[in-house]
Amino acid sequence: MRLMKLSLSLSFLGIFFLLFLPNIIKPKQVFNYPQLKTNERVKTIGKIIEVETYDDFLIIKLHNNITITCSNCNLKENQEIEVEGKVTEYKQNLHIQAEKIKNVT
Amino acid sequence: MLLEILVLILALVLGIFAGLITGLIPGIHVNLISIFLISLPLAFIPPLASLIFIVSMSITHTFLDFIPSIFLGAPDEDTSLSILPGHELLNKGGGYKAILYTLYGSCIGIIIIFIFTPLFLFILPKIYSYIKTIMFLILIFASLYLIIKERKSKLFALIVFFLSGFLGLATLNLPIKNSLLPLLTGLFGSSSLITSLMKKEKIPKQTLTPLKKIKITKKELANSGIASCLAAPLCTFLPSLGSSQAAVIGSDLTGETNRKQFLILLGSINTIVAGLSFITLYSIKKARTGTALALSKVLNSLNLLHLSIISITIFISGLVAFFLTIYIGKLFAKNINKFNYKFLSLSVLIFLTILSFIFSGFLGLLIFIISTFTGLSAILLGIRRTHLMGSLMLPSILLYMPF
Repeated sequence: MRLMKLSLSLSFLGIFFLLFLPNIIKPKQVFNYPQLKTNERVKTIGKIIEVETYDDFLIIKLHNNITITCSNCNLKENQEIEVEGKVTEYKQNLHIQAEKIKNVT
Repeated sequence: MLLEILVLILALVLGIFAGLITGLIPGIHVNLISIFLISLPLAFIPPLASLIFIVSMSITHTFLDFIPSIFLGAPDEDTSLSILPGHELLNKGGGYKAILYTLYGSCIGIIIIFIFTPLFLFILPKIYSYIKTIMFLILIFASLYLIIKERKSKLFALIVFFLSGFLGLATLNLPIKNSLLPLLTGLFGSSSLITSLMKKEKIPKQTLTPLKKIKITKKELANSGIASCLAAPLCTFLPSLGSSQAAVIGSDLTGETNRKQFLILLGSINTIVAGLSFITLYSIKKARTGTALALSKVLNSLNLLHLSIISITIFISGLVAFFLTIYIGKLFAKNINKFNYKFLSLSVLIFLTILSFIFSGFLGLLIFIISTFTGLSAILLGIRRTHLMGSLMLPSILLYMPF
């Protein structure tokens, strides 16, 4: 009984900590596409060279060969932006799913 | 031409050998080898050879992976339900018999793969787009069904489902490699080993029952076969629904199953899921297992030639694996009572811990420890370990939800 309560408590605490952990881990600064790794939280700065608009999201290409996806954002070519997000894979290509975008121009 | 054929035969032999290793060593899963394979520069390996290697490894693994589950109490997520019935037989000297039951199941599984292949080729592509729109509902229904069918406590089952679900969400959200390894090893492998260590067990001498003397009635065989047919194919194209859940659903749909039938069912479903996952890859271009995913990266698209080779490889590797399982099962049965069981369990536990660290780093080790406590909670609460698959089901439900 005691072991069961201990396991359950440690389990709850551990899972809570793991859920909170991404907020503690600082995003890694990346400068180009080869530095991207799946599931990593990253940050990059770049100039927008292409914007493709879809129904409810944009696919943005930066000058450093990194692709960003974002929903509900209003961005144009030639803007310089700082992006923070998670690296995900789509059709064997890595891109950053933007969580925070800041205009730096 | 002759050289090409020799390379393909070599790929088959190496694949069977790899399946033997992954099947017998707890914690080493076919997905791990597949991930390793696709991370290598594969330009010099003919794609057909990679295909044969992956398929033969996958099928062989499903025949042999019940051996460590039953004899060492170290299952993976697909064989976790074999622990209780398998261990009951082991403690009565019938560990080898338990292996033969799962072997019967795997053989039935091979037959069912070939029966279902035409359905998967011609009907699945037509209905999959409709299924996809209600995928999250199917997964919610399956989860609820399993929780409602829990005999011990539905509340505990619900708690464990969500606990493991949040653990899965947290794990998949973290920047670690091979995240499923520490997660599933902790939930199903190390937690079982710890409970084995806590028990004062001495494994009795095992009886080597000849295959001819294994008595299975036609009704028992039919029951297990029907249950496999009903549940296993679903798991090959529905995400996160694994062999163990299919076994529970299948056995519930066909009524009460005894220990023997359940082991046959488990063996059958395990092999069906592995084999049909490649057919699913061809028909709807979706990879539902790690090995199918590895294959999709090696071969961008599958054609009829690949499908034919897959079918032949499944048959040949199944045949070889059948005899391998009998031979290795006998070896284990003859020698298991000579080993100190606690020492064996502890060694496997340490091995799995080191493996989690090597493949997933410090974060992986942390996940391994937390998932071990989660798995242990489920065992100590006395509920079915299938609810721990919430670790994959909850993330899948959220992924497929349209809102």
